Amino acid sequence: MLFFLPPIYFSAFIFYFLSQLKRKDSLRKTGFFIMLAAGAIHFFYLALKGIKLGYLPTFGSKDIMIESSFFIVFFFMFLFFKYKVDLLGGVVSILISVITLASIFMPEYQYQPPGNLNIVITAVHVFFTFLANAAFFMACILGCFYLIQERNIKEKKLGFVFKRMSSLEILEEAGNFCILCGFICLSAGIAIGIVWSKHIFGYFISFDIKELWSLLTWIIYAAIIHGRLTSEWKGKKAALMAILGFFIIIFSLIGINIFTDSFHGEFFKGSPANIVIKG
Amino acid sequence: MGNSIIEKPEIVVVGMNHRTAPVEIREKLSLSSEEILMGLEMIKSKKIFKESFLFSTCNRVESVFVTNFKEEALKKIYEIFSIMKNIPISEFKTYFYEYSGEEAVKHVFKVSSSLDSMVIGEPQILGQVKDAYKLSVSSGNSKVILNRLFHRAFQTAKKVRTNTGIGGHAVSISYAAVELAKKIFNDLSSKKILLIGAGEMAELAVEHLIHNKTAHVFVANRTFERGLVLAKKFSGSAIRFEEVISALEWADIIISSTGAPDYILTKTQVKPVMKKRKNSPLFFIDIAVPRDIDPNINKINNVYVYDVDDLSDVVNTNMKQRQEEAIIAMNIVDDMASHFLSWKQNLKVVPTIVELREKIQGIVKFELEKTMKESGIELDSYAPGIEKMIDSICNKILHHPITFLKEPGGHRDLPTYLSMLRNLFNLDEKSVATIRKINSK
Repeated sequence: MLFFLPPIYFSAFIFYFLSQLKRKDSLRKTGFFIMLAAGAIHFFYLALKGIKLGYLPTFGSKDIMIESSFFIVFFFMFLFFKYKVDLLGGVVSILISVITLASIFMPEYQYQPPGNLNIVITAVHVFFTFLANAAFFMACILGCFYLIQERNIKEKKLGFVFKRMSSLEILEEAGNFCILCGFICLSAGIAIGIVWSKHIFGYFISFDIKELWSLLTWIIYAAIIHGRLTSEWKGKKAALMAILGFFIIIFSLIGINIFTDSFHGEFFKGSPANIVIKG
Repeated sequence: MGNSIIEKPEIVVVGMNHRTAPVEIREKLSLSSEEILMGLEMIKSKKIFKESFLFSTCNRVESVFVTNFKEEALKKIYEIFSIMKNIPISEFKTYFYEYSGEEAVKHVFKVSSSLDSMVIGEPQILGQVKDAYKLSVSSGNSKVILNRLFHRAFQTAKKVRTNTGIGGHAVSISYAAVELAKKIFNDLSSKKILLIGAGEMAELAVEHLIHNKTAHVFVANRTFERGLVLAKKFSGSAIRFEEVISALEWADIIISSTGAPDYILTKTQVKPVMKKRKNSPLFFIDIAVPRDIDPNINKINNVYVYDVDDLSDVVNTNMKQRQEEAIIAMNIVDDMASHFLSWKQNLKVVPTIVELREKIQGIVKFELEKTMKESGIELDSYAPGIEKMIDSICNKILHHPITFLKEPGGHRDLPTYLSMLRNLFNLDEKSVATIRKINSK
């Protein structure tokens, strides 16, 4: 089923692309519905794999990629009902088709999570943190959009992209919304993680580098929200911060997981973890 | 004119526009709606015109009509123009173009879709054509063919507008300013406009913005009284010229058009304001020459400055784009015109079919009456059943020929078939009476 995802997302992209070229809204709508269908297939793939494995497929970089991309699509749909941002569907669909295509070539890791790892709590923890990342990802794309459109207007280059992109105001509002959603989800994810850590390890925080980095991410996004509320960071600066914030997440996701020996990293690499579980 | 195939009704366009005629001639010939109605009455009184339509804007005067005798009708229409406007034909005839058939149909579609306008893609023309068409309908001058022609023309215009970007790019300075404002602000209805100074272009820009539902207009003028008058015009409020700097704290779009020799706003004045307005975007439209707004202000974050030159650049590139879009639009026009023409061709078949049916029915009825009379049977008592039988005999005999006429296939020459059919059945010396006469002899 995984093999179907990249071509379906790519065909959604084709429709989005043509809708811009031919200026036909019906094509854009078709693109959206293809994306919706792809999202549903994506969900079933994860659900079936989860049932087969007996736990949420969140371990190993292959599964992380597939699951992350699903959450991005999920959040895109959610955002769509609040803000209609032009060109966003096309960009998301092509990115997702690339990520899912790459995931096909990733090796499948055999991983046996510790027997008493609570599946439900894992699922909730993963749901919130992944959704937060998806929201921050979207905020990053919107930030890029903002920078492009701002540059177009500032430098008076009012061409193809300028005409098709949403207004600065809507890009900023949608970006704010994404960051707020992401922040709420991240807070929930971290809170669950802390409580859960107490439950399985016996302490609230293990000072694992991943945990520390997550706290740093949380602080940075809190600062971004504060900056936006006090209107210190508005417009271009806010857009830059949204992009920077996401780079920090990418670093914590890839950098820390690969280059350090965090126990979250063990999940990422998919090699058996040396996690000591109480009881 | 014995052969009615030659007498096929033809659509003819005769008129002049901004390309063919100088403005002095266009002025002299332009028609008010009363004059159009008068003209339509004059055309209607001439039996040579089957259907007609008159149209006049500041850039064109046109007549579209349906006639069987094109040359004579053209002469008549020039006479009508000459009488109505009291100008000798020789003075204006050279500026007129004449189209008929396919060319005429395409011309009507092009005009309605604003492909023939001075500013390609300008949206007013369709409304003007619609108004003129209403006059033509209400005076009874537009019938089957023109009704269909204009409905198709309106459809073409709609298709052109939705499927090409012909109307999508602003081609006037004031529209370009509004287009830009819409890319900075999402919802113009909550934005405040400040007009500094006065001037036609600036006022036009304000009007366009109001049209896009901006919240409130403030006017600052060196003479406060003049400001008051302008503010009243836009149902806004006037502020004193000295208050402009503090007004930047709450205004979102500033349109400036004063006669000042120097910048009236500089970077050092605007920069501190941004903090007070919480860095929310500020859009300056500088229509004045020499400029009012220091172009360096554009360097401040979240502030955008556009002057007349910037806006005319936008307009020029948009103009070029519209011309490119017009090429795409022509494909739509060609397509719609060929659909219309095939409908019209089909229409010519209808009278022949009716005549053919009448003739066959006549023969059957005549023979039946004769036979019954000879046998001494009263026909009336059998009437309903017999009528039905006659109809179905006719339908069965004519089924194939009629289907053939309606769908002769693209490669076949329909007029030839029609002519052959009319000769075979001698339809051009029709009327049942004649047939009876022949039969009774």
